[in-house]
Amino acid sequence: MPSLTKFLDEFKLYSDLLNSWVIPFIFLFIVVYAYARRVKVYEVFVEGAKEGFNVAIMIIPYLVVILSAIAIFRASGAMQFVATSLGAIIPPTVFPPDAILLSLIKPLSGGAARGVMLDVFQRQGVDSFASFVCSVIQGSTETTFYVIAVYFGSVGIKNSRHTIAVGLAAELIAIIASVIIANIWWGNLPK
Amino acid sequence: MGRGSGVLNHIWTLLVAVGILWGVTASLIKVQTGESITKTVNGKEVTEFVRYKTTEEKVKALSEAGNKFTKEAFNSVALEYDDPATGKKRSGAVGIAFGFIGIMALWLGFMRIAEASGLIALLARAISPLFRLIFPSIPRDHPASGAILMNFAANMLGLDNAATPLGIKAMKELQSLNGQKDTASNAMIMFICLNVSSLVILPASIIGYRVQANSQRPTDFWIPMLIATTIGTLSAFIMCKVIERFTKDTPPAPPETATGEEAA
Repeated sequence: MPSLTKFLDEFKLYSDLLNSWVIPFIFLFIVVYAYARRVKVYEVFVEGAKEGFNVAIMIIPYLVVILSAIAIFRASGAMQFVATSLGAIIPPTVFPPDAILLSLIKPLSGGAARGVMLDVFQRQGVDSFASFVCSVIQGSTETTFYVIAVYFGSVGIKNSRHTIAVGLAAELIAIIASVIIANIWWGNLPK
Repeated sequence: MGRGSGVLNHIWTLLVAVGILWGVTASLIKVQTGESITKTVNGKEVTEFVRYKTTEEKVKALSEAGNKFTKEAFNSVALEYDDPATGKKRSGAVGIAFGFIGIMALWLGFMRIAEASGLIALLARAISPLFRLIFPSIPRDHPASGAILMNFAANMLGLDNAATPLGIKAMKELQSLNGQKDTASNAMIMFICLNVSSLVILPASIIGYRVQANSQRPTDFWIPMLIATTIGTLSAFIMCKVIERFTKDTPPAPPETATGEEAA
């Protein structure tokens, strides 16, 4: 299907252009809009930036707890054993074992999933196929159990009916979609 | 954090305990049978098979393996360390978080401006036409609509910290419309399932982490991620609507309590 490949290549070309300018234009839009509405942009920015410091420091314990456990598991050779076994069922070139681990942890803990993704960035290189797959999965899924527990807990709901089933099914669909799209998008990257 | 964290306790213990036991066993076996060691000599990879003959050699190799193992664990949380495999510097847990301070501060600075100027409220208004279709049971002008829209807007911009309190407010408003207080209503389930399917349009934190990891293409994953997110969200919406058709919703609350004062 040469026309489809050509279309995909062109689509990728323009989406890369859009991707690379989206952040600068959002910044521009936010600042100009706020300035025009006489928001004290400088002071308000500082207020928000203070919060950024807290967020970054707050994630340290969550990173330590999961990164050390992954390091131990990996250094022992057990990770390689799991990856080889999984590779027999799911080809690691299609769905990298690191991304499988990320998918399994994400519904349980956002902090732990972030740790797995950052570990992949460090080990495989941030622009590798595995890192792109992990970035897409991290963005297209949520910490299902946490959200359900917090939101239902806040109003005392005990019978959640079909929430968990639909939530997990949607998560699974998003993961499968992520893997398929990533393979179309970055299929030619070295693995 | 309820049930989610509970499962994580098991996974974490499994990773640590299996990892260490596996490491010890693998080292013991290697020392007995000999191991193949790959070294880089003059830029070339050379693999040699080493057999340990005397007890002294075996003990030495075993303690070396233990040291390497310990070092890996400590490296993973360090500010920065030399990776012997590639010879490059890498960040551990603390280094990653430190590198993130600036990016996060920058991002939240801009977001605070967007909030103060009313841009986020504007975004909420822009998505409101879809509202009737998604939540038919919420009366027009009920305070639940506003809270849900603000929560969706915060989620779309990747403002997780702002999204959670708004979501809790929305749940309280939805509970005021719910006639069966211990059971989730259709509107609540739809609201949570859409939240769970990730509504992110601007994955600011992931872009930040990629920039911090020196990516040459930090935003390249954006469009593919949007496609995957849309598929997930649409399927959550369709599944909820189909199940709504075949199950019974909780009864609506009697009119005098359905005014939203419960959230106040």
